[in-house]
Amino acid sequence: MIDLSKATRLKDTVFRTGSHLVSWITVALRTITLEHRDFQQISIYVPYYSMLVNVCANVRMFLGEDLFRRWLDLDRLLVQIWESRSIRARVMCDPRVRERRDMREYFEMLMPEVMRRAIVDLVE
Amino acid sequence: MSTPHLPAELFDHVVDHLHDTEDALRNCCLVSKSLISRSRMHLFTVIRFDTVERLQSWKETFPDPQTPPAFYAETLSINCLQAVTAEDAEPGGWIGGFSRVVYLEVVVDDLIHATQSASSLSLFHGFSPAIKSIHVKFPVLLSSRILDFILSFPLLEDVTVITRYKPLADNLDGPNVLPTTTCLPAPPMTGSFELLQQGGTKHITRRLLSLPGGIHFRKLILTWCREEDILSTRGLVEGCSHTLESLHIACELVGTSHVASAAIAYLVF
Repeated sequence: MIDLSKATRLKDTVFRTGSHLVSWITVALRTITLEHRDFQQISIYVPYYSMLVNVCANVRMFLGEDLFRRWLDLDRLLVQIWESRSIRARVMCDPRVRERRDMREYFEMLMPEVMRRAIVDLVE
Repeated sequence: MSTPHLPAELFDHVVDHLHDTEDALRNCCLVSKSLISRSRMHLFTVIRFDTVERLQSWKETFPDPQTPPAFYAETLSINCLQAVTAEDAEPGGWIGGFSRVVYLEVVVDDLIHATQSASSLSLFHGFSPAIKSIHVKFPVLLSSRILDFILSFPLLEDVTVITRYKPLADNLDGPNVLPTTTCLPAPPMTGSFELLQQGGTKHITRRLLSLPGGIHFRKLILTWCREEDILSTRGLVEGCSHTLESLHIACELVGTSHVASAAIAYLVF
């Protein structure tokens, strides 16, 4: 795992992930502790899932149960980080998503709770 | 017309305001000898050898490297490394004239010139002790060559290494091949480190981490092209844990399938 627990001077992180890999982000962010007093920024590039862009799909079905659950894990963790440290994550997506459907809808499928609470910043 | 007696500093100040206006600076050089030095300082701050012809033209125009304008260059960008010869690095060659360069960019885009260009890289070892920032982008380059090069600059803070293809002879770059410059004090490396190597980052990472003074980067920009790069990232983060302020990780594992992601999950956890 990427252990950030000793990097207590950390101020910002940027994660750009492949389509089937999400959990490493969650694992890395879980190692951020209260000792990280200067930590203030999380940016995540959300990958392009063509099925979610082109079809109003059942997310769970198209991503698969395992991958969908990993997105929900990250979603929950971002909520916890917001609640404990008031850090709003920035989320970005592939330009192809913006061309074909509403970015907000796309993120709502993958990270429903942070979107419902409006505790992430959507960056174009 | 008589020349007004104004202090030289005032003229310098006027020329400084034109620092980003190349035409005006050129005109200044034609107006008065007293403006040439300051104008040249700005005109030649950034030197780009984008083509072989441009490099050749420089060598013909400024045959004596020990005189300006190479002396003014703070940024040197070379995109035609294949045209650099051993003679260029000898005393009296043009490379030695750029001894005050702070930022060096070496870019090789095509595979055709990659091997020849990689050999030429050694000609630049330590050519400017003032270098603080290096950007190396090659199609293919062995980690040992890159590290030899990096370690030859004693004040180096920022490093970018990007190689987009996998080396054909990975075994040449094995863990037992030590950089020839290991006897030199390691550069401070306190700035940013950007690393993308299609052939994997483990060799360069391992050697960086084994430097006597360690590494102290404040910013890491790492791209995963192979599963093993995750382990390198882990090592780099740990190596810089006392200084790290910014961490960027991009996953470019090509064609990552569910099966591969299971393997990666094993590495991650």
